[in-house]
Amino acid sequence: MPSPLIDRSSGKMLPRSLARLLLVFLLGYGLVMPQRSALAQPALEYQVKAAFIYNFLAFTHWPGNGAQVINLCLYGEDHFGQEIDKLQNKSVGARPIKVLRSNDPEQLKQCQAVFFSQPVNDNLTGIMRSLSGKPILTLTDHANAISKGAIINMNLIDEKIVFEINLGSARKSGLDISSKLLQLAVKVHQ
Amino acid sequence: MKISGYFTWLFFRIRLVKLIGLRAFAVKLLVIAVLTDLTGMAAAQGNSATGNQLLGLSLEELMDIKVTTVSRRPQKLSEVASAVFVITQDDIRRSGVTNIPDALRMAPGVQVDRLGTDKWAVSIRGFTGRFANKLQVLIDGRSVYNPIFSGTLWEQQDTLMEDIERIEVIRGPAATVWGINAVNGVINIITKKAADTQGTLLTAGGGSFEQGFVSARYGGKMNEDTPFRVYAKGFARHHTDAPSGASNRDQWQSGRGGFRIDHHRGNDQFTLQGDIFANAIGDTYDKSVISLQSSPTNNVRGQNEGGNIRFRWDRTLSEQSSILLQTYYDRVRYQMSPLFSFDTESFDVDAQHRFSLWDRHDITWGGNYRLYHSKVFENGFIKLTPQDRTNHVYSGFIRDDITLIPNRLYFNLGTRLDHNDFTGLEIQPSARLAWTPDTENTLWLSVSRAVRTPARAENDATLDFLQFGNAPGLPPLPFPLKAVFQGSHSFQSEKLLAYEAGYRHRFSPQASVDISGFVNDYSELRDFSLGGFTLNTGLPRQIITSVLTDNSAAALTYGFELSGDWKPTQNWRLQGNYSFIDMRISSNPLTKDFDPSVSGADKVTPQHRISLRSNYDLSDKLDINLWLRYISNIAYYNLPGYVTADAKVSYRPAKNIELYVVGQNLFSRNHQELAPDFIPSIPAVIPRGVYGGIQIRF
Repeated sequence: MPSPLIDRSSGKMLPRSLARLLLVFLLGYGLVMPQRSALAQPALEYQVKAAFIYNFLAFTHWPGNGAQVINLCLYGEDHFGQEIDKLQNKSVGARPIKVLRSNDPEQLKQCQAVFFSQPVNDNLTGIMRSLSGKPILTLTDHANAISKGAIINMNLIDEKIVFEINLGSARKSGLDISSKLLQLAVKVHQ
Repeated sequence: MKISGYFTWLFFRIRLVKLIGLRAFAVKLLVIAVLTDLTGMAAAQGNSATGNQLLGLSLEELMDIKVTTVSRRPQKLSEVASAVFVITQDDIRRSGVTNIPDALRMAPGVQVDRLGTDKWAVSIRGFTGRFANKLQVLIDGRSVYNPIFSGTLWEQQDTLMEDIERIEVIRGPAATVWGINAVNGVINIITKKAADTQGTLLTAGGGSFEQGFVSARYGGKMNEDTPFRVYAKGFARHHTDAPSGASNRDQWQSGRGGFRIDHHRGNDQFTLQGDIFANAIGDTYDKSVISLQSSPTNNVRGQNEGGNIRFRWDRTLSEQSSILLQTYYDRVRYQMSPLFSFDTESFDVDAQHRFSLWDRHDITWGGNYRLYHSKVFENGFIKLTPQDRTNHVYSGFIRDDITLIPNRLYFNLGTRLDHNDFTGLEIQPSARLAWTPDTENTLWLSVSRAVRTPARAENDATLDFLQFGNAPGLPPLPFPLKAVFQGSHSFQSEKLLAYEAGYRHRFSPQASVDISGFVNDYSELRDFSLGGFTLNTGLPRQIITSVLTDNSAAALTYGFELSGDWKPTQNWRLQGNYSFIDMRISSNPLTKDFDPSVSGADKVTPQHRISLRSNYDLSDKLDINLWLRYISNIAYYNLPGYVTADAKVSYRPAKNIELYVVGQNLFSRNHQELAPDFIPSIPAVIPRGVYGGIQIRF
């Protein structure tokens, strides 16, 4: 039931305030227009995840001398854009990082690390299983991925990125994960 | 700067963001920081696209960066230049508080007084009282506003304390963003996402004042993209005593349950959330004030129950562009015979669109519709005419976050237009400027206008149960004076023009301070005037006067809040704050002594408040947390200042188990914090309390 008391103050307030507001808006735009520059904004989340991946590579030791190059492969949809390519300029110790995108499960066997960018479904579980036991660091960012064979999984908790490690899978693969990573992991699965 | 200064700058940003917890702000600033500094660096080095600056950060630092997508809470962006304090889940856990109002004592500028087992008065920067009406309180975006007196009934606002992600306390007007009633501040209670509350949590315990509590939560997944949680809790709290020592019979039993389902699909995020609760409460009224002798005044028991359901849809259109749709329905039934019984329901729809324009403008605009329906049951004390009423509020808002100089100067401009049934159109603009001259300093200024729209009671109510043995300010009377409060249809909105300034300084990553000052210029505040006096010829013999509501009071308040955060060592954190306020109120001199809500508010507000917290981790398994508070005297009720302390010791024998002991109000057997207004409940003294508990997670 609408009230009978409506619009007592509206009549005079609106035009003056609106005019003032418009003026301030115009001034504001006038001030900043000449200075604008083209800024493209990448997704911070994946920027941070790329930085995490860089750390994961840095704190993992592969068995033997291994390949000189660390092949970091991306499987599935690419959310990183250029962020992950920036790792290409980096190296871990003396080993340069090479970023590859591949959706061919066979090719993944050439990689030292694989990031699976989609939920681990039945199909992906198969692929992961085919990689298990090989010295390949499998990385994911989806809940439950650890139980399906991923070695390091990133999660978003309280707006921050945390990670969990499947130490059992890592050992099976012959990978040596630094205690630094194990300390910082929210959960270490044995 | 560029390269060397960059990281300190970035760290400061991260720190600052942690401090004030603004997600969108974090993202924007970080993104801008990274990009603009990159541009600068590229120019300096002649080396383009060197890449992600975050690659230089340590894992610990990476784990500290907030990364939520830009779109999630766009409205926060504009809050850069405001006095914001965040109470985190860790703060809540370590403080040992068992309810939301007590948690708010941690924030500077907030006055929290417990009036009884189930009653609190909460306000920011003055004008407190059980029916304090200048705050906007939101739980997960749902306004918990009672349209009858335009305030918050705190006993109804609860959830699983463990599920609260954080409480953002914004001092000062934030009406442009948060709407009507965000005059003195906003309290924004945000619970965790369902994905963050997976697994089982069981809590149980009890003690002296907290007689017993039990809660359970289970979080699972319907499928990979659809996490959910359900919870239930219950507690029993002891009654408080009157200063005389008699029981106030306000023992409180409560049961509550709820759920949350989040669903993520592509660019869309959906949330469905709901709660139901029931409280059994009680009260004792002051017989000398209540004029109807026939009514029971002690051992009055009542109950309230309610529920709400909320749906929210977020769609990310692009990095800079998003839309948000939210709707909720909330219903409460409150039965406290004979004084106070009502039903209220509210329905709300909110839509927002955010986009960026010409790179430097980040614009958010939207609209809101809210419906309030309230029904106040007829009794001999409070009468609302009409008894049953539906009110509508229509709002539109626009605001723009403008980057004047990247990394250095930000300007925020916005306004909100609300249309309500009582006063028509209200305009609430604000302008805010934030300046970060270097990595350690932030300075901000703001001017804003906010209004507090009339409550139904101010329009429709007649209260004719209050009598005074002696009318304050009048010569002694031969008979008691019975005051008949009368609402007024010409009651206007209360207005505030606020000038604020703030400064944040970071000494090191371990130490920072934040100071905010304000001058609040209130006009057309509620006041009361006395009508004619008549002698009641029947029995009881009374002099009857009508007390009319008008807008003739004004106030000028000023003050500041200082807060500091220091980590002397890795395992020790100290947080302290000091709040000062001075209030100058001009009102009808007759009302100063019987209206604590406005006219006498200067004497109800303690000038000084201090809170000091120490959180110390003896080991991973054992932490000791202490909390010291000082509140200066409250002249209106002749209450002396007091110092009190809480302490909590937590022990985790295994990863999933926590045992704890909490002591509350340790320094004295009991103390009185404030006294109830309007509803003449007997004041309560708040006792010392000890309780213990166990929490299991799996």
